[in-house]
Amino acid sequence: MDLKKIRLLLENYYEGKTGREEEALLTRFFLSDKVPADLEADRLLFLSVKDASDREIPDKEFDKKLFDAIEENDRLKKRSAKMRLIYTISGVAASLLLIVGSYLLFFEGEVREVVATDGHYSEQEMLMAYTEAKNALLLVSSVMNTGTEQLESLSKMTEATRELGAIHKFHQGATGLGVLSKFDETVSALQPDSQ
Amino acid sequence: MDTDRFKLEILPLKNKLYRFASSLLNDSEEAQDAVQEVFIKMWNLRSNIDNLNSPEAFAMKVTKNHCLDRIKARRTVSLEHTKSLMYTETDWEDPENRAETGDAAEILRKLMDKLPEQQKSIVHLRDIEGYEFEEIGQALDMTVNTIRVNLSRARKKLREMYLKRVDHGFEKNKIITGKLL
Repeated sequence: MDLKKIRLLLENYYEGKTGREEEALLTRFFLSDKVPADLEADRLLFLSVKDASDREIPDKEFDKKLFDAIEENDRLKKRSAKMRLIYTISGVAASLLLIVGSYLLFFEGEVREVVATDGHYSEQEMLMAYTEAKNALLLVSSVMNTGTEQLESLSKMTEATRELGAIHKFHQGATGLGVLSKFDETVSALQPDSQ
Repeated sequence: MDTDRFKLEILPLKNKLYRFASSLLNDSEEAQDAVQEVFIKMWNLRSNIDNLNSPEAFAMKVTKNHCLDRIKARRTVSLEHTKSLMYTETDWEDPENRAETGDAAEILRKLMDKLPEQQKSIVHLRDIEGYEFEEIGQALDMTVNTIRVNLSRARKKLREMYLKRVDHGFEKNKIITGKLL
């Protein structure tokens, strides 16, 4: 190997201008026994690079350990996906149950109230009932958005419906008062007789 | 990508990833742990591997980022832990003493540790792993020109360090010869 050429290549090497083949040529040269003493530092550098590139992972069990870890990783991922699905389904089911429940409790009662009492509720009472229902539904929708953790706060919903129950009692009372109309009828029926 | 292809195409990178990780982390044990974690990351991303230009450059990039995260985490560990880490690092210390054992890779590792992280990564990927500049660019997000400039600086610094070692060796030999005479 022409030493002049080697020195030129080496110069380019330190400028970052050599290709991989030229670098391989330099490595072969430095592994030979023809290296002049003034290139000792360069020889050490090339030898150590060669030595470092031959290193291998020391753990002979590496592959086995890796695939055990991959298996464990997959198992954990599968389990957490399953749990997420269960949480989502139960969250949606609970929310739906509450929507249907609140509909049955509130809207059905309201219809009956309006029909039966012939509009005897004050505007304020109707507004109050409407606001309570709206709040309950807003709560349900916010719970659907924020996930199952917040389901605990639905106890507030029970309180709201308890208040609605009071209105229902009022409705029952009002229906009871309906008997009085019969009294009216009887009285008016009796009136011509008395005349 | 299924298990067989993963074993065939990705797993053979283990020694390259290990060498890169141990060059960055300066700790053989930790480098092995890091490589395992990098492979798990690659496994979880296996459906996207086929779309990659160079899965190998990508693996190197993941390794580099993972090792840098580990180095950052080291800085935040308790003082006690830091002390124990320092003790284990003595394995890599003192290249002068190791020179006699002839473990050239150990000396290089120690000298490379004096280089800035970027230069260390470049010289590792080019000289130890033999990557093309384009592949290094993909792994380290750098232009070919930046790579060349930094590679040149790193190689020159390493040469200087080896020159000092050679000179030091000559001095030592002179003293020994002098004493003998």
